[in-house]
Amino acid sequence: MPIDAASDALFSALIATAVDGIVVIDARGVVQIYSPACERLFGYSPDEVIGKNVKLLMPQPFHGEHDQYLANYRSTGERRIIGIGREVMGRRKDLTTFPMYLSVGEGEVGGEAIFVGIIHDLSTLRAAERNREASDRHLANIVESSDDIILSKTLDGVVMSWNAAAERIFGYAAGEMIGQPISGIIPPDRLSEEDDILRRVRAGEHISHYETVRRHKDGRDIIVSLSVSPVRDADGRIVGASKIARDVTEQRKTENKAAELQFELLHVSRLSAMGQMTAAIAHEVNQPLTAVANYVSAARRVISSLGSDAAAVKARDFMEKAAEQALRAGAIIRNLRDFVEKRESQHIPHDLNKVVAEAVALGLAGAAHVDVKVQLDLNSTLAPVLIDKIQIQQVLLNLIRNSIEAMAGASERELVLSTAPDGPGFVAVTVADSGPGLPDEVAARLFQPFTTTKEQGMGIGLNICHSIVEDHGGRIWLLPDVPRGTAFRIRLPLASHIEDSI
Amino acid sequence: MSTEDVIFVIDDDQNVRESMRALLESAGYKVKDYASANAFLADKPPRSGCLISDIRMPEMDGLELQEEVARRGILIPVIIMTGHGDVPLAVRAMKAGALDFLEKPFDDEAMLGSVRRALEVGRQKQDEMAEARAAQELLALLTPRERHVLDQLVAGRSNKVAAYELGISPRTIEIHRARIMDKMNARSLSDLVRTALAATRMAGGTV
Repeated sequence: MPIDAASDALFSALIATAVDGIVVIDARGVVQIYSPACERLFGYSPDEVIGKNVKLLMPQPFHGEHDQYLANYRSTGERRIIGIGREVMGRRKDLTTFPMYLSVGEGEVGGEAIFVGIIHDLSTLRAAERNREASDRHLANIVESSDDIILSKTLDGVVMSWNAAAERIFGYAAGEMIGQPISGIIPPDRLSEEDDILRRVRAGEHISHYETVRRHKDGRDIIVSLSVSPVRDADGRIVGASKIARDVTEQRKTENKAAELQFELLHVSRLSAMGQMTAAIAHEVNQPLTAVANYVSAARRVISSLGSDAAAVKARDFMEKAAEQALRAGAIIRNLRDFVEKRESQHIPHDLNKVVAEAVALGLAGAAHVDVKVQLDLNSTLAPVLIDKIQIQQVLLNLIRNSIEAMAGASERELVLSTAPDGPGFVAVTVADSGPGLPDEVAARLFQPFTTTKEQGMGIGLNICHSIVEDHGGRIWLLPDVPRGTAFRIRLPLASHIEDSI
Repeated sequence: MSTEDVIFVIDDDQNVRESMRALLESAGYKVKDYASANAFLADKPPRSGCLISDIRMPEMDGLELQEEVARRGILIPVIIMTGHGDVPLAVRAMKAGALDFLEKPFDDEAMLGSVRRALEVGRQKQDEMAEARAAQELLALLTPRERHVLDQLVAGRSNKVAAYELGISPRTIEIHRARIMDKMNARSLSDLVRTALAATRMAGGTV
């Protein structure tokens, strides 16, 4: 059946089924028609609205201004909304408001002007927008508060975003970098690396945990671990690269330090293994050498007793020489051993604090089982000292190990190492413990060889310490009258002091 | 050099031992050598001479031997021989009263010089011990009262003071003194004091 466009039934159906709300008012603003969709939107029933002024459905300021607006339109024909439509706020029965798109058409019925308003509810749309904004803000917060560098760049390597961590780690503000080529933070010798990364990103590849070097604004190198991913637009085309980078400089430094210490420890233990081997060889070889020297000396005496003719004198002379050679062989072995024990010293300027810190690490390396509290009280203003690091560390190691051993039975086990300037041209390092201290008679002979308080001790440790320190132009002594335990002080000359005196 | 002086050589290395015998015999000494400390201790204890021992030996080392010799009251000077790495042990030996220690290999004169010194020290010690024994025998002849008087004299007191201390007259002191001098074969007061001191000197184990 064809639809009669003028039928009341069609009109009623239009009003009843329109999803958007329809409100018709007369020229004075009185509501004539109020569609069922409006009931859902505003919460008013038709009875409550029809015959009332339409401003009922409007929040302030529209509520107050609407009558004036209509009067104005009637007299001047000035339109603000009629025939146009715009986003306004509606007011529900419970006085809450909601965003809506209102389009208004003007018509005439029986000589009277009417206005038809179509109301499209925007609250769902606006809520979705608010959600998206909130989630954008949330993401932005995550990016900004990240400890890791997060940045993005175009496929040409131009920086598009730059987070706070990037500012902190590279030293450039976002304003300085955005729009600029990323090559500003790449050391010149690594520029080709960036080209390669961009090429791979263009190909859609993801690069993870790539470790490389970048340059801080102040020129210092920073070791970073990079992950780079392609950024795609709505159509899936790759338009840029996002990069997450972590500053691993300190971590690598710590690892390197640990490796260095381990190497040093290995060196020390290798030296001591060599020393042990040499001692064993020395003992084995010295036995036959002793026999040779004894036999030859005995033979010389026997020949002497036989007479003093030319042949006997000659033989005696040869025997004497042979005995000398046996002793010389013994001396060579002794020197070899001495050489292993005290290799050539190399005096180089060193930061005493570092030397001390490493010695402590080494000293504690084999003493993890003894619960010793270590305190480092290092003066950071010290100028470098001219020392053989290994030798001075041997001295410190010796003192540290002595202290740890001495404190074995003490209730309080505290080891304190401190550094400080010590008069013009010198610095001092003090090794103090909370052990039982030294008896006076031991303290008096402390640095003489073969003085020891230890069951297994040979009493040469401090003697060697003494000669090493003296060899450095320094001094080592026991601090008198300390409140507890034992405290040794080593005074060492500054590198500048030694250079001055040369 | 006395022909009675025997040098006791203890070393677990046979070649060292035999070469030591060769060296010492060439210098005119009598030598007895042992492959271990226990072998030496199992033998008749020596009355004189000197002991030369290696320090590093299996079972009983030179240091323990030295302690055992002292414990047994054997009066004999000890010379320790050491390989280079044995310095700490040698130090303990010196602390325990060894007369000398020599690093292997050694100059023959260093060893023979050390032996001569050891024998001399040993003889001195023997003489002192003989003197002390003789003095002790003489002291045993004195009555308790005479011992008291002698103590006063050794302490350097005059007759008058000694008399006052012991509550007797100076005259009585003089009588005691004459009798003491007589019993102890002393020609003078200083002779008497020397003998009395020798008697109180206690001889240690090792020399």
